[in-house]
Amino acid sequence: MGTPTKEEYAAFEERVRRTVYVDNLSPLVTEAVLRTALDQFGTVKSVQVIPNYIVPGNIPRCALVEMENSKEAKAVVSEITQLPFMISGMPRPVRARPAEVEMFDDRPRKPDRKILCRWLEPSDPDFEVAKRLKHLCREHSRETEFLIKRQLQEEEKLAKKQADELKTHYKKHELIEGVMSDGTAQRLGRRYNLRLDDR
Amino acid sequence: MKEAETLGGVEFKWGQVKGKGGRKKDVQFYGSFTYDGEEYALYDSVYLYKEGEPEPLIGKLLKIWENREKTKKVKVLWFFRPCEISNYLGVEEASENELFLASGEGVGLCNINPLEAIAGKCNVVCISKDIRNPQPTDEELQMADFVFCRTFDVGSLKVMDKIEEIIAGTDVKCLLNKMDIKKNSGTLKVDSGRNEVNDSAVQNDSRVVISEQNLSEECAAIKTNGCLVDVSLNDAADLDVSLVKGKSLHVDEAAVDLCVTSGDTAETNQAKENVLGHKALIMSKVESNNSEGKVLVRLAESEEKVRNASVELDDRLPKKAKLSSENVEKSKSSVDKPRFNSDANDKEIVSADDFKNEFKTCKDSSRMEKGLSKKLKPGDKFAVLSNGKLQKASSTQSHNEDHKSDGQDLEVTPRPDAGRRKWFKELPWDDKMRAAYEQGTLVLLQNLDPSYNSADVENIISHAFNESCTTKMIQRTMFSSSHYGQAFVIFRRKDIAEKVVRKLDEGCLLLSSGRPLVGSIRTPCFLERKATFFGHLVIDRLRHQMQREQRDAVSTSHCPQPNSYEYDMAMEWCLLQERSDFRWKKLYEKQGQEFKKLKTKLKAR
Repeated sequence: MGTPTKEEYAAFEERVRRTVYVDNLSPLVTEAVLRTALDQFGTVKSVQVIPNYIVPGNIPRCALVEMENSKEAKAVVSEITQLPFMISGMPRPVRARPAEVEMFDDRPRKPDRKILCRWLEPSDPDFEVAKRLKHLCREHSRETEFLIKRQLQEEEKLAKKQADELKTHYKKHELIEGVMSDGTAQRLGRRYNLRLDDR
Repeated sequence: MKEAETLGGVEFKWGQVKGKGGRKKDVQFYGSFTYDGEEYALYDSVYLYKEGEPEPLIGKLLKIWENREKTKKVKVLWFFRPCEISNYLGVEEASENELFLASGEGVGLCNINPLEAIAGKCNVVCISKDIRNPQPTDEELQMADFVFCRTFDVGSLKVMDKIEEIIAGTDVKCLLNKMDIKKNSGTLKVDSGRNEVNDSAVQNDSRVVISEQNLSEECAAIKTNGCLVDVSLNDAADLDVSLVKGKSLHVDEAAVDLCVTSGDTAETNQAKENVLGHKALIMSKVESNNSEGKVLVRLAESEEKVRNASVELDDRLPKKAKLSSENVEKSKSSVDKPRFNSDANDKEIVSADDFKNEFKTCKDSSRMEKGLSKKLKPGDKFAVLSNGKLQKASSTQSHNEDHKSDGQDLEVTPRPDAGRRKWFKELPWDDKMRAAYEQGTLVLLQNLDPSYNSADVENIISHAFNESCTTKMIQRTMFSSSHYGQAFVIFRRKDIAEKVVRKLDEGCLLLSSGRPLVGSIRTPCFLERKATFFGHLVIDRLRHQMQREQRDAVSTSHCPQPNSYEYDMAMEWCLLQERSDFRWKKLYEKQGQEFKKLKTKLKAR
């Protein structure tokens, strides 16, 4: 404790603990919707949508929801993880995780941290290693991008499959409903001596 | 003799005394003062350091006073840099060193600051063709740090070509170029100099030196010893020679006032002004801190302190020349070559090479001591000057070159004090980024330590490149790696952005956690309103009805019953999510291992 920065950071860490990270949100989900949706688990203090500037493609939105205290935050995470919970649409459930420090845009500087930087000379033995590290970083970010793309493709596939299924189910139900309503079912029931009213 | 005091270890003295004010007549106004060895008068332009502000603010002193509580205050009328008002500048071009004088009424016009916030004098020349404005000479223009001819109305938020009669209750004549005195102060400017290498050097050094504590002690020593020596020009010249031979010199600009024969700043000031038409007063004060004690045997102690050369010239041009050198504690040779010339028109320029050499020593040692602190800054400008690039050049180039070549560790410290100008609302980041992307000033930095925050990144950039920028650390989501931090950085100009990317590509800027910084120019993803989302289904016939419901609904969240299609489908999504999560985990594990393995090969850590 002691110095103001340390206190500030401790306060911030407390805020992290009572915050929930929510993702797989539809773009239709606004802050107000999210607030109402999670208010049933506790008191929502603030909602902040994390903007996506970096991932190409159509990734679901994510947001940070600050609850009244860390107990509530834990409750939200466990509720949403145990049961599929849907906001502004179905059937894809949202996902909740405890928030992490790096997710916050306005995080304060870590106290007592020294940052050093230096330009390496080409003759420095570290220069080559550093070059390779840079290369590795680029490589990894490409891998990440690839995986995201792949994931999005799979999501799209599943969405399509489900849409087809839903259509089929819907058709089936419509057919049944039609048969029931226009009396065909009754007629057939009488014809085959079956009881149709299952009430 | 006026009282001399220290403010936080820095020499301070009031100058010209003006009237008293305030309700109880307990506020004393002043017309001038000396701080940090620099004389400031009303309507001077000054730099003010503010924390978080990458570049110092610039303003004009409108009022100077001391409260009953003995706190010293200055009222400052602000200048705006073009970048600060770029939102209102529109298509109008503003040159690199153009400033805009605040005018009109509203926040941002002027405000009251502690006197200690002043970081130095700034040479701002008015180039308005207005008849009220004495036109600057070519020489003056070349020496100017900044110029202004337009004003920015803080009330209507408009840039105006006309300069009003009264700004912030002050007659505009005071705010335009001064009749003559300008020349005097002009010669002292850091960036200004054509031929002013000497003078500039003085300022650089003084800033460096004064921050050191031993300064005040030395000042005290001067006073008590009373070793003030007036020497004639010839003496001074001789002295120079001996000084050059000396091993280590210490110039103390703050000692200036103490050394003046009368010892009175105000008088000095006035004297200077008076002399203008007749004689020029050259004051040169050298304090030599010669550890060897061989060259100058004037003082009884082995440490020699003061040289005071007060030289009168018959020439009309008032010049103030000072000798300077860095006081390097361990140094053997950090020698400045002071030049005096009775013929002010024929000034000698210290050869660039000399300066360079000296400069290296200064720099290295100062870096050893404090890494990159304020100290280095004047140094860079110095280097620029000595290279013969005499226009106001951005000091970045030399800065970088330097770092590259010496491979020293630089500690990234937060910039001195905070409080960005918050008078104008900042644009939302999204808009700023879009604009920056279109102008090509947007750079993506990768391989940052994920725990840095945006301010940390700004500091790193400003220390490594000496460029100001706006940054935003990318917030982590489930899609981003926990090993790498990324940040978008907006630079001021396209060429700076390109230069930074090139430098990061060709060289290696190694951060403390063993991460070389990676920079690239990338297309960011902008928030799209109509982005589609996979996984929410609607039945076509019901679409309209549902959309309407959704619009009106306050809450549209629910958990499905376990015996529904919806639940089954949700389970499918959960399954897919699990699979992807597993893949991410594996990928990040692999990446983390690769990263660690390679990092251990770094020798330095």
